Amino acid sequence: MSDDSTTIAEQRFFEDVQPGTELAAREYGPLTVIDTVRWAGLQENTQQLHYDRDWVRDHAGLRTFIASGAYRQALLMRMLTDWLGPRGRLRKLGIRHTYSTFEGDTMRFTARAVEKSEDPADPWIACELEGANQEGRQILTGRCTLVLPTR
Amino acid sequence: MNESPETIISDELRRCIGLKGPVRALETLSASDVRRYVDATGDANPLWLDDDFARSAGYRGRLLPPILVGWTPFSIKEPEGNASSFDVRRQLPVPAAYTNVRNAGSETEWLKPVHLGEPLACQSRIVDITAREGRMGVGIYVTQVEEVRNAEDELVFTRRHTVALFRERQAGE
Repeated sequence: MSDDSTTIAEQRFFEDVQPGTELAAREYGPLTVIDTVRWAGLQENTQQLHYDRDWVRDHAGLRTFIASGAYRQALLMRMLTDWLGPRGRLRKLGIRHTYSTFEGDTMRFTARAVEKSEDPADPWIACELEGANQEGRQILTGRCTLVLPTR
Repeated sequence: MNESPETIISDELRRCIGLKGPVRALETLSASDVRRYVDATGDANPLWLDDDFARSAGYRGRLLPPILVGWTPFSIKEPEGNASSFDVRRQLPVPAAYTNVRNAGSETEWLKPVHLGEPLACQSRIVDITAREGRMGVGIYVTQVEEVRNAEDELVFTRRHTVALFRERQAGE
């Protein structure tokens, strides 16, 4: 991970976000075997796909190991919960994985507000999410609903 | 190899759509699990680490990071085909060589915050099984829904999750 900054100090408010607002983007990586082994240990998932270069070449037909989808999702969620601030909340998240993250690749995630609740008693915003590698190739796409406090 | 999307799903496998596992208590995650999550992701959000900070934001104590809610039973490595597993996906009669498992996507909803140490219970069911051919060959796409409830039997989390199962290659293939 190249980005270790957690920026939760700032609180976002519902009134401050409009459709079209770009949320903070984050870039992580380049992916190393240390990243994937730490994640495998946490998840108790010893699938060789995520750390064993020889095995993935011979058995999965890939040039090297890849990040787990859950790991990429965790980094994306970290970006969102950091942006939300302590009183905001991630309500929904839909993700479709479209391309793998290989050893050495970076992951850049972005989020853009596309819809906003018209009910101040239920102050949510919907965002489109996208992930890309260092070549700009899409690695995932998604949508989330965030709940923000009102002023 | 004569596998095709039209033939790879047997009648026995198709009959598993709707299969539901039992309600099972989840292993309660600890501060040590959260510390390992922080080490793995760099996500040192004080909401996960500091009770006083979390209380100042209106919670009764520190929260479980959302990705850790309800995930334990589905991520612990269990042998494929383990009949006693409470992850129903692992009980499916898929062809034996289809052990190359890929995460194809998910839709998750967190209905209530979950605090560290809260007891949770989970139930999962298979909602769809399809097959299609892609750049990795014929894939079997299994979609399951997981529901997690708290001690008050309130639904706190739902996830619709699809994994793709591909045939594992042998060395030299």
